Amino acid sequence: MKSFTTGALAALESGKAIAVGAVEIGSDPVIRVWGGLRPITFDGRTFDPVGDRGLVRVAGGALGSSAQNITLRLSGIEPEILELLDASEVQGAPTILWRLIFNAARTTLLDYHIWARGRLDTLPREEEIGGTAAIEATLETAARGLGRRGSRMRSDADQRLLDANDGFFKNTAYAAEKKLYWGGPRPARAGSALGGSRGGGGGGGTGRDLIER
Amino acid sequence: MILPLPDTLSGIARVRFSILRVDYAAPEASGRQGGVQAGFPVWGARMELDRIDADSADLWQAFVDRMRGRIRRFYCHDTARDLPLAHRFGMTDLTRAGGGAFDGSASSWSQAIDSDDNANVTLGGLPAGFSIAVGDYIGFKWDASGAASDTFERRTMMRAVLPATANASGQAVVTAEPPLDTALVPSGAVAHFDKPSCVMQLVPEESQLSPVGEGGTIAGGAVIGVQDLRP
Repeated sequence: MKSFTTGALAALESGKAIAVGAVEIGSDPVIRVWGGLRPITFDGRTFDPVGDRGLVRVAGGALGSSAQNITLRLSGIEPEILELLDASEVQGAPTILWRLIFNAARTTLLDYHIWARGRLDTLPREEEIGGTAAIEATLETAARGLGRRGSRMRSDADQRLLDANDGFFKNTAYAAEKKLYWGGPRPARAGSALGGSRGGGGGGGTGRDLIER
Repeated sequence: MILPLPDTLSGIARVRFSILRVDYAAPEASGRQGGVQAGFPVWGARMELDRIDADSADLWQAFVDRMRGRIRRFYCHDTARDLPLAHRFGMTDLTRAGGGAFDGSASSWSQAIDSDDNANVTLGGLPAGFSIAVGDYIGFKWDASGAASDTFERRTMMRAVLPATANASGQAVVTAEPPLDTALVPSGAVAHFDKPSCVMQLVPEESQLSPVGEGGTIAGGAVIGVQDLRP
């Protein structure tokens, strides 16, 4: 849970907030940059400016759907960032992403909080002739699979993919997709209200209606 | 090396200085307008050239050549308002309220942010009755770290949004945009009114000079710059 200060909440409420991202990448050396124009110190850490306003490009996700990773777009020509390409132990380096909220006059830091923690995933470079040079750092947050194959589900079907004779999850319930009718015409039967009779272990061997939990 | 704008006979036909901000709007179905702004504002300049004589055309061409794309920086001022409106023919005959010749720079400055997030800049050491009109610029210049003193290679500016007049003791409070980041602009920076400028980088993709025509003239062109603000 993220707790905001009163001032930051008021600024967000009234639409007067200026939000800037800051990121710490625990490579060797540690890289700390933020999207401002001058160095800043908070939380006992000093961040170098990269002046990139679009520091965090994608930070999405919805409840119940597959989570998205976070893409940090870092300018590729800042010396602080170039260290990133050279740094050892970049792969999988622990990364912390903060969000800083300033007042409308950008003079007061109202709040900072950790937006996400994760590990550095891929680090593609993008250089465009006549365009921009940037590094895109993909941040894999904890418990997010980035849509890779091999993610596990606690279901009998999934377990049997590993070993057809392993019935460990045979009696374990798994979350199936149920449609609940809120309002609208009353379903004639209970079975149509809940959209099928799955829910028991081993019953849904096809796994078609499974959603990942 | 930071180059000045070329001083040409033809001048600059049209100029627009704007404060560039990145907004993320979040309008809601209820009609409520939400949103958040990303990052901090910088100045952007668009200078349009029109019917440039042959000598000026050469100077502009040399300027763009010397910029080397995005490699070099240039000092850019609003050519439509390089001096305060009320003192546009010069300020050198003025004297400071406390005595001494006025060279266009205030002897002190400070910024206060009011409850509405307006930036009110108090300037001291001005001539009594010194008038600041809406749209006048207040420049701030300071030395880069490690640079020789009075090289003033770091510059930014604010634009007055309300008029102000210096009182009998030479002090004026002017409301201006965008608010200064006082952690970026050092307190020892010089606030000045003579050709306030900022350090800009050319945007080569959008800048262009039209082909050279009869007698070496060029019909027009546009030079686009965006501020490079550093501590």
